[in-house]
Amino acid sequence: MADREKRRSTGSGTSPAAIVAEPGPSSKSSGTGSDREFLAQAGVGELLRGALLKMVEARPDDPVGFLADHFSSLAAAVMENSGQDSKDLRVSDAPSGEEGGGSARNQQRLNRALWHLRLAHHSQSSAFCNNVRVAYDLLSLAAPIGHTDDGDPLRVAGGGVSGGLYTQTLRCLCDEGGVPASTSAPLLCRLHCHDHEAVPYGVFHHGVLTCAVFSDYIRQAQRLYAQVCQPDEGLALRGPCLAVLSALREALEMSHDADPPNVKALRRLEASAKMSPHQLAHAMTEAQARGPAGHMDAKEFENAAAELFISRVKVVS
Amino acid sequence: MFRLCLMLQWQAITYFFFFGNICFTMLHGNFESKTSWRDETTQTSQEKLHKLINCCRFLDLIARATGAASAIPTASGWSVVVEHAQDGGDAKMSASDVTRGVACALKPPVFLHFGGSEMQASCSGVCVIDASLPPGKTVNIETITFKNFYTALVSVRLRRRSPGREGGGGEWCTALRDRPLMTNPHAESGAQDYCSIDRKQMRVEPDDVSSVRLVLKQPSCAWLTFGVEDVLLFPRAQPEPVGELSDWLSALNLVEQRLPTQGSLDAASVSCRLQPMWALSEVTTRSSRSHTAPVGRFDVDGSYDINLLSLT
Repeated sequence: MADREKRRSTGSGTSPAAIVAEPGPSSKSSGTGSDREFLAQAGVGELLRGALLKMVEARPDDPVGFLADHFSSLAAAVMENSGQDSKDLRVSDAPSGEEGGGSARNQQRLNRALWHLRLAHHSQSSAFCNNVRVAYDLLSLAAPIGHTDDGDPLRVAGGGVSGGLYTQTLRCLCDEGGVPASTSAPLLCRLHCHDHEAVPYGVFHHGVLTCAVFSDYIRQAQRLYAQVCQPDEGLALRGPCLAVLSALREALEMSHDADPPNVKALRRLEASAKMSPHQLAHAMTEAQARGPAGHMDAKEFENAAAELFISRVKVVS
Repeated sequence: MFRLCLMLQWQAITYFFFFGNICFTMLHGNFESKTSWRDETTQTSQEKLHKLINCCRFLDLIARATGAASAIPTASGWSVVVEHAQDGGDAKMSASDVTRGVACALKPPVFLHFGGSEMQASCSGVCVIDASLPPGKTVNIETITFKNFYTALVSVRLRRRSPGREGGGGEWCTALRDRPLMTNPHAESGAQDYCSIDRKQMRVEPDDVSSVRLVLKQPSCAWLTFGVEDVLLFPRAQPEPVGELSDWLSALNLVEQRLPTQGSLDAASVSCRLQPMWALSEVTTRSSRSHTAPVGRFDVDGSYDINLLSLT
């Protein structure tokens, strides 16, 4: 009876012991002792503790929805593991059926990984790192083409997320961040990995962080454009826009990797001085007076800002 | 002479009564043997030694009182060897020199003793400490600081390179003569103070100094061991060249002026929006530096054609 009630996951470390609780016919006796025993046997304490810890880390705006998502993802993990166990016992004969099931499973894993990645903002570095680790472990168990005969859960030998899944993750992150596909396409060109490649953790982390930061960056650029544009026309003058972008470009070009720390600090101060209100006002008035005429629309501004960002992203190699 | 010594000892007894049995028994021993002053065979070597100490100190006291030249014989017993310490830094003065003192080689203190015979270390109450700079390096001294340890008077002599000739050591001159560090050499006051000698207190300008000699005197027989610790020479701080900082720093000084208004554009808010974008970019570059594990691509221009692969 205990075997039927408890199914333990053997693969992922994230899902705790999932319980299919069935109240026994004789365990409804009165008394707090038996209640406590029942809770201990069911492992509810661990479950709730995990949920509360995750909640504290993520601090969502909608706690109930967060808890619902958390438990549903746990349940999905349990069902998947149980489904996987049962599948291992079968002999495979229909590869297409398996692949179809495999892609659906991949999609499920992807959704869960994305849910984990959405929990913490990239500025909360330790929480974000934990979530990236969890997502990486989830995606590492992605179903490969075949399966082994010994009944173990199928795993990519040597670890690593498959390149296709990784690229898909990045694309979804950018879409959720509000970045239009055309803007994020050059970034994905630099970060993507082929399907046949196994992505190590460092590259995964870097890619995910870059996409999160990029979505923030594009949001900031959109707000900046709103600041710069004329309120009545809805479009911004070309001169000030170019002045602002050139200030940003100069500030970005200031820092080099090979500098010693004191020189680096100096350069940072100099770069921030370039973006001080006084300098910017000066540059913008000058550009307005002498710069190119015409307007710049939001899309062009966004693309130009994105290009500044993307040019500093290292290509994955 | 004998009576003077007796007076000295009486004075010592009254002042040092509470400074322990050792002092008292020493002096008591001397006092007891006054009847056999001339009978040297009955005296122990220790008694002879202490008599000698008292004589020397008395002599020095007299010399000090009369203001005569310091009774330091320049003869035997002194070995003034100028060692040249290794200095790995460049000849220019660095910022660490200004805060922590110039790197100089401090020789162990040399105590004066009469007659050239090797006796107990604290014989005469006069001690010399040399601080020399690495060869070729000179310093314009701003301050000399040290911690006193029961030294009553200190004199400072400087070896300055004469402006005419480059070779040779230079000449010695006295910068400070017998500056009192303890108000009463027999008492405690000022015995363990931190002292500093400024260039304004020196008789000569301490510029282009290659060696410093501190002459310590302690005439009281209460303090047989004395010295100074942690001698530091601080050079004159030169104004640092401002250089490339000045242009944008001076531009920052204009912030107090009213920002030029230009229609509806608000430079302050634009700047507020721009700076996070810069910071986000920096985050990416920093992360790319830390996570540098390669995926492992070995293709040449996107193809793994075997003809393109090379052995190197």
